Amino acid sequence: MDKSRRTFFKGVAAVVGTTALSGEVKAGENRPMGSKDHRWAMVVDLRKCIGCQACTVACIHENAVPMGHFRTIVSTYELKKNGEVSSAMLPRLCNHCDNPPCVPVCPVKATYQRHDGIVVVDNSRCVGCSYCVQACPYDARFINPETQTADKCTFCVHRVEAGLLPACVETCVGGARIFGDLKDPASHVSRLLREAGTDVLKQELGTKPHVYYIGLDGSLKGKVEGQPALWNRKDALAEEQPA
Amino acid sequence: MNTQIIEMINVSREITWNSWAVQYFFLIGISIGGMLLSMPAFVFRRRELESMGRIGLVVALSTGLVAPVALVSDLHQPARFYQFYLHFTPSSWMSWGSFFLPAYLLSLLAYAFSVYRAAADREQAVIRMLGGITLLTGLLVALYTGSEMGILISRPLWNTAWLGVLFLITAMSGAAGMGLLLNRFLGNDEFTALKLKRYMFIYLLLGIVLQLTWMFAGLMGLSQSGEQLMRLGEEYLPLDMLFFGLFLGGIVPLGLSAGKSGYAWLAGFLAVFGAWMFRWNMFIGGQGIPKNAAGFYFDELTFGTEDVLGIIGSLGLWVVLLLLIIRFLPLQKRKTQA
Repeated sequence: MDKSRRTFFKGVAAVVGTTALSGEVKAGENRPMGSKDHRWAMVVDLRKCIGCQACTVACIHENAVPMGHFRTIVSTYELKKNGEVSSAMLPRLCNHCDNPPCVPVCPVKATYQRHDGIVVVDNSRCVGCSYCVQACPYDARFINPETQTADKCTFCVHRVEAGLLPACVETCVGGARIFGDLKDPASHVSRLLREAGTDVLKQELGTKPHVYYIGLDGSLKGKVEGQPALWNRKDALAEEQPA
Repeated sequence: MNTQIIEMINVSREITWNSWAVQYFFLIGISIGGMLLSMPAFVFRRRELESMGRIGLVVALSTGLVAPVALVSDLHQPARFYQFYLHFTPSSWMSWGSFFLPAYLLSLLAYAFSVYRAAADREQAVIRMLGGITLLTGLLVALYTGSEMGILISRPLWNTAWLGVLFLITAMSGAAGMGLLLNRFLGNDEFTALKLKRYMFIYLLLGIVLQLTWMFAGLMGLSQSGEQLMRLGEEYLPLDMLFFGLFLGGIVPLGLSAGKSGYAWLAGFLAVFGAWMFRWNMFIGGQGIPKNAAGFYFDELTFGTEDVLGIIGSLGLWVVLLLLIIRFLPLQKRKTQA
């Protein structure tokens, strides 16, 4: 990444950060924000996901995610069952749990859940202790190397509040990611939850995730046991960044 | 149904509690261990153990005062540490810790001060009171450090009470080991060395037995964290876990401290190393076990401030503090009076 691009992304990060998080916080301190009339959630129809990573790229551009880090990524697997080989996609992101393990551990109340279910981080208060990063069972959080604070998917709260869809949903080629309001019985996500069989990741932990999957293979619901990916973040970064 | 899985694309997450966190847990653990070594002499009035108690206090002070430096260094936004005191969060063990830690250090300083300035028996009551408060605050620090990791459902290895108990046990053996080392360089009192060796032996043995029982519980399918511990020792980090941690940092010093060998100081050094290694394996090894991905994240030790320089830096600061304490505090009361 050249310097001017990096500067541009830093600027975008500052604007997004200010409007989405710290600006709101400073406006009132009457957190959590968002309307109690909504409960935002996502359904991912894995039958439609082709693993193109368009959502991954859209998220990076929308949220100025630093290189080598991801708020969402499509994990891709090859499964061999009874001699038959198939590929499986699993878009991963923050599950915006109803019982989020990351929130109570934060020692300074920098991360919190809004009334509409979206879990956010006030990065003007976050001390970067990484306790929430450790506490998330879904590896959805990381320390942003530019802000040195906890970072994660916000369901693109700045877009949602403006009446837009999250960037990953907007860009999804096959319409695999569906976003909506669970408090609206007529919404697409409510209907899918009623009519299609959905699963969540690591249900046994009792976190009550609000990212639901249609067509999730049982072997991918928890920690995946198998041959690991060859791609290593540190190695890849070392190759891409000249000394 | 038997399913074979090959992970084609996934993200490997970085370790975010790095060597500074290991240093903090090591230093504060040794400090609590040293403080506990001083209790028989000054709180429970076992006069014959006073020399050991004074060495325990040096261990507690020197490591305890460096510990917060390592802790704040582990924050990615260290200058914001004051936020801990603006937004107390009862649901967070770390938030409680931000109050327990200064309470412990302040009471330890007051307790040590009362011990070193005590000239007459009438001050014994003050020492006992301050020692009692330090014991309480120290145990609260031990409770929060163990619970902070023990409650995390995200990491099965840490999600257990075994961890907190073993932090305390290895802290005791490490503190006794450090006491043996200091005793060797501060006059080599034979009675004190014998007592420290005995303490160290007991806690080393307890630590080894507990670790093996924890692993066995995992092997028998009785403990999920034990299963992870087994995998760490068997599959991911056998050299670090079994050789450096259990053998070199546990069984060897146990053997050296069992008989009348003259290598008590070496046993002490290895017990200190064992206490550090246990924390290294739990932190760095524990974060190497992916929460979702397949395989293991092998951490490469770099020379940067987050790895080697962090370890050397905090140990260097400890040495400086130790030298200052030895230089300015009347460590061997009886000898100086004689």
